Amino acid sequence: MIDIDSVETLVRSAREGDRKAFKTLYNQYKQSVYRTAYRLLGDRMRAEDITQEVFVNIHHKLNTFEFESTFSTWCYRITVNACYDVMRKHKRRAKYNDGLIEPGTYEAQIKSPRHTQPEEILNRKELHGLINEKLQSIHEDLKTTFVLREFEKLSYREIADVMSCSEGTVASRLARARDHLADYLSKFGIDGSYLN
Amino acid sequence: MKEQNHISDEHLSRYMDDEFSATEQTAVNEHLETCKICRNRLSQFNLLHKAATESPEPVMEGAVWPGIERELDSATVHKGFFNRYKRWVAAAAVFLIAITAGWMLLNNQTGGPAASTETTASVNRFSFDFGPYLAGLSEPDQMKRFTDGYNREEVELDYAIAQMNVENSPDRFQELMKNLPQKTVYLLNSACCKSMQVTVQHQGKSFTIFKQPRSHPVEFSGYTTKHTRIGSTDCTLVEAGQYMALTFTTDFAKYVVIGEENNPMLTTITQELTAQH
Repeated sequence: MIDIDSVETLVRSAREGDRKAFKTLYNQYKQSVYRTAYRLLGDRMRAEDITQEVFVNIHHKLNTFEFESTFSTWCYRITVNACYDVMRKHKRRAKYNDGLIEPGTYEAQIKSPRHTQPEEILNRKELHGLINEKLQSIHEDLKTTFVLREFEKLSYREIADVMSCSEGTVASRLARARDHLADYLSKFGIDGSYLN
Repeated sequence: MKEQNHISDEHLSRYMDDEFSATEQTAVNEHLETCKICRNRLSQFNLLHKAATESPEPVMEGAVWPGIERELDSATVHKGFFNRYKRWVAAAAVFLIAITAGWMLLNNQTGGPAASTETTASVNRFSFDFGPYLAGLSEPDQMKRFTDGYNREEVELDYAIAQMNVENSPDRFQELMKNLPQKTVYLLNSACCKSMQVTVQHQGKSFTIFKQPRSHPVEFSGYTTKHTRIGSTDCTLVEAGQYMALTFTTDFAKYVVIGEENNPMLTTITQELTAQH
């Protein structure tokens, strides 16, 4: 992890057209951009497209970055906005759903007769699949809050900065996201003792 | 509170995330010691946290940086050219405006015919730029930038096919074009080659196919391009409001198909033109 001063130096150099400095920033933040896009969209190819789009956008907007938030928060904000555009288009356009996780994929598998007791059969991959599947179906604000907190480990303050809302709203959205997901897992008899 | 005497999901959630003050934490701890329902709910939230932490990290498989560099280089070329020559560009623009104004004045005085922009526009581009065409679908003023740029002329389909020398192309372009109803055909000229434009009205919607030599570059100035797949064909996707453009290359030609994003003909045409024979 590079320190804040180094990030500032890199941003200032990249603004002056230093491509090497911009590539260093890319290498530093590419994984968090890609990971967030992947968690929000559920599709690898789209996440790669978004990663490219986000970094091109970041480069174009470097002059507008005023160091009021951290560079990392700024990257997350641009990523989340780009993903929201895709999610909204996706809602309107059913024909592009081929790459996204089909609703019910894991649910259908787990309801199949071979699964008698969730504790016996449900492996971790299936549990992650169930969570990701449900995540794709909940409201985008709840999903984004959950992803930024649980996968990206951002604080409430940072999430509030990324999503331009209050920390209270973050707390409320996070609780609702967890509520939806926990209730969904309970349907399969998966309770808090499952991973113990 | 979700129920009297129990801790709300929001408070449990904040407690789990250490977003409570020490006093609040103590109060929750005391409650949890005696309340099984809240302990169970908290353990469900913890399960989610644990599952997320254990979830394998997705790893980028494609090479994204070269695509970013390409985009940045293309932006730099345009910007750099203008910055370097902006004084000359400005001077040339003033000179052109003066010449054009004088010429128009002269024509008006002598009563000469107004010249058609379609036939006199300079053809100085070595690639076809469909950016203005896409913009022109929503803003008709922009369309003129496109039509003026390539000496566009309306022709018969057979004439265009002969000009494009595609009679013997083994793909289904000719057959498809002949079978499609209500079409308007144009030939466009860039500095080094021709493109054929076929605009089709089909079931109340219109879409347009551009065909040009497969090695001829195309661009979409002002838009971001993305990669997508239609069936097994790699395509470049450009989204422009309610419209989109798909660009793909076959063994014989490069095609750009443009229309409303919800028009299924865009994918149908792409699949037909890329089908193996």
